[in-house]
Amino acid sequence: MRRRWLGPTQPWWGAAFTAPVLVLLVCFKFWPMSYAAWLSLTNASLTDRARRFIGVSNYVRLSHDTTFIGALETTARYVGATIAVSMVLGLALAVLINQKVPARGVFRTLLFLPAVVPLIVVPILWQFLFHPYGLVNNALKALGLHPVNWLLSPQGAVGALVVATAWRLTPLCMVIYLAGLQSIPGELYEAAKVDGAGAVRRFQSITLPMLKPTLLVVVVFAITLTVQNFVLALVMTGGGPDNASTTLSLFVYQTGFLGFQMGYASAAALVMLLIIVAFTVVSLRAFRIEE
Amino acid sequence: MRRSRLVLVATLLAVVLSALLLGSGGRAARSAPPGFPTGSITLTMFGSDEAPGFHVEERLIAEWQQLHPNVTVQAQQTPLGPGFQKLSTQLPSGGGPTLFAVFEPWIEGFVPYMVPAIPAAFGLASMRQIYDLYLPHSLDAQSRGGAIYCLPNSAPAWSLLVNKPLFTAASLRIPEDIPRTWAQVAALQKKLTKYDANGQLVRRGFGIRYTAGPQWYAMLFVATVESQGARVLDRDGTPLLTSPAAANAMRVFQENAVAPTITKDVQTSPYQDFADGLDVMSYGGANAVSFAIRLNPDLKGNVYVSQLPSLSGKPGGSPKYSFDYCVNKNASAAEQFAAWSLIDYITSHGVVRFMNTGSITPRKNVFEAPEVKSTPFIEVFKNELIYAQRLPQTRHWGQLQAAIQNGVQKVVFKNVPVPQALQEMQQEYLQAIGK
Repeated sequence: MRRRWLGPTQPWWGAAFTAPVLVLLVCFKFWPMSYAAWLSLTNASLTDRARRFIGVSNYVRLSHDTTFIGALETTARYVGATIAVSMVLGLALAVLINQKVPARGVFRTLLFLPAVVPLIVVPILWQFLFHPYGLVNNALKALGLHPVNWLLSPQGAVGALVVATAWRLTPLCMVIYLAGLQSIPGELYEAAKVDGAGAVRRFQSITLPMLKPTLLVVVVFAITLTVQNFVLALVMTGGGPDNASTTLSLFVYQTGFLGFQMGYASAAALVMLLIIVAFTVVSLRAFRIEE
Repeated sequence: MRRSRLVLVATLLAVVLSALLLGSGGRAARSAPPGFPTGSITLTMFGSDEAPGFHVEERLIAEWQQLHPNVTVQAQQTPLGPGFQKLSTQLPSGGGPTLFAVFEPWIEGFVPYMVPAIPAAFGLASMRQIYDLYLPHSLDAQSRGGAIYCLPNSAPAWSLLVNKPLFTAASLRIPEDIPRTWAQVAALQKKLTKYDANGQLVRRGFGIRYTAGPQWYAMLFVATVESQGARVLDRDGTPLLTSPAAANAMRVFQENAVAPTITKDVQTSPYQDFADGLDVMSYGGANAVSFAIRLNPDLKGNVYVSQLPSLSGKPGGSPKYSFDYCVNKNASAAEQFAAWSLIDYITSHGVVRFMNTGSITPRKNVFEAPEVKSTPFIEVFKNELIYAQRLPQTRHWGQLQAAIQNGVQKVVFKNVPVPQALQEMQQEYLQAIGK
């Protein structure tokens, strides 16, 4: 009787094993999120212990705040471009290094290196590369193109952030794609070859459909990481010039930790969360797999 | 006989040791002040953000601990940004280190979590006596209602730094041709700025740091406004950013912008362009010279320091700010007393900090020390400290700095007319503070 109670089929084992993680999630995810949601309905400030419930005033203020609206637009451009570049380039690299080529392991390691560079090193490194007389502009000149004022012009600043973020994000996408590619049965390609399908046709008809679940993971992962990322904008451009590269996450940071307005910053953070959730839901629908 | 000789030697040793302790600087060096708490005490500390400053702190803490063996100090070097974030979250929730270093504009925001100086911890009878240890007005920003809430470990005011070889190579004389007004700086820009055969900038007369953090031009803007007798905020905190004085300040940036995008100045190395010889003239506090020399040892003996230019040519064109030690209100009474005693000890040894880092502590005994008196240009730095404009005390410094940053960037990088930029600056500030 006692042995049965401790037996591996007892349902309470599941609860016992998930409980520690659930406790961690509640303490470090759900509780802070709920607290932020509460703060967004108050006038909480780091400089004033007294706080008052003000309803949706912070959200109404956000709807009129031109800096916030500008940050939304910048975030849309920054996230859209970064994800497009990272996903396409990541897939191309994954397909390439999935081939049986000599020294494949070395190539994989080299391509993955940007992902393991410490986050704070990335913006400092790219600051030097994007110097008006730096390597990037020298390369542009060598190709007969005009140099770009990367960090101190409204167009260049967002472009620079996209390049620097994609440089780090692409290898991460690549690894996820690679795992997806390796799970596709080789027989499918062999059968397609026998049927006379070329490389492009095989990619369109086998690789892309079979990668659908992986694409979903990559999209959600890339959106979350890019929307939340503020270190690059903070260090590389400081959100400038004239707020041209202020992203939503940087706006939240500046409002909360430089402006001390935690209630207002929490409201902006909640909007950011809703945007991520909305994009995730859209992605789930777009990449839905029929069982 | 032998015993009396021993007593004589011991007495002599005691006299010599006392004389050494008395001669080594401030009051704190003498002995533990009466009333110093007994029992085991642990102080936690967020120290200086730069390694040389923190090494000085570690050394002085070790000396102080010998005087107070019942106290353990756990100090950590704390970069300003992360330190600010930690304090922002820890202090309001009742936590945080016993003592911490802050950047002057943060004082207004953190003052609810600070405890005022305890004169007894300094071995003094009143707050007034602590004020008397410092240069006039050097504790204005640290005071609230006649009480001192923080003490500066470093109080930079900016001066004009000139690369002597590059300046004289352009047939300019020192000190005759050193500019005293911003108009003179603008006139010299043409003479000093050079491009190579490919059209690349190789030399610039004077460079304003646009990529090393907004403080480098936001504070210059504020000081230029205040040097005209005007203010950027009125007593109620209403912005006065569209005033004629603000327009004059903005024109300083407009008229001195020479290839402003060509720079290697970054937050962690703000004097890079001056050290590299790209900028013939630059600006910074007393520590700037030693910082630049660390980057380029060839600058040693080749930097001339003069009063920072102003609109009128008179002293007072520089901002005055500081990095300060403060004590956590959440600490116990014994910890607060010990913490203020430690702060007294460190700040009374400003000479040690100056000799190791070039940072000036505005405590009077620093300027009386022979090694400081013999430092080149020390009178220039001291004069700047006396005449410099202090930053506005506001809880919205972050928003004000951001608005000024964007206003200046509009003018310098987007060629927006000055009146329009000022108007937008004013609007942005009001919007950011929710008015």
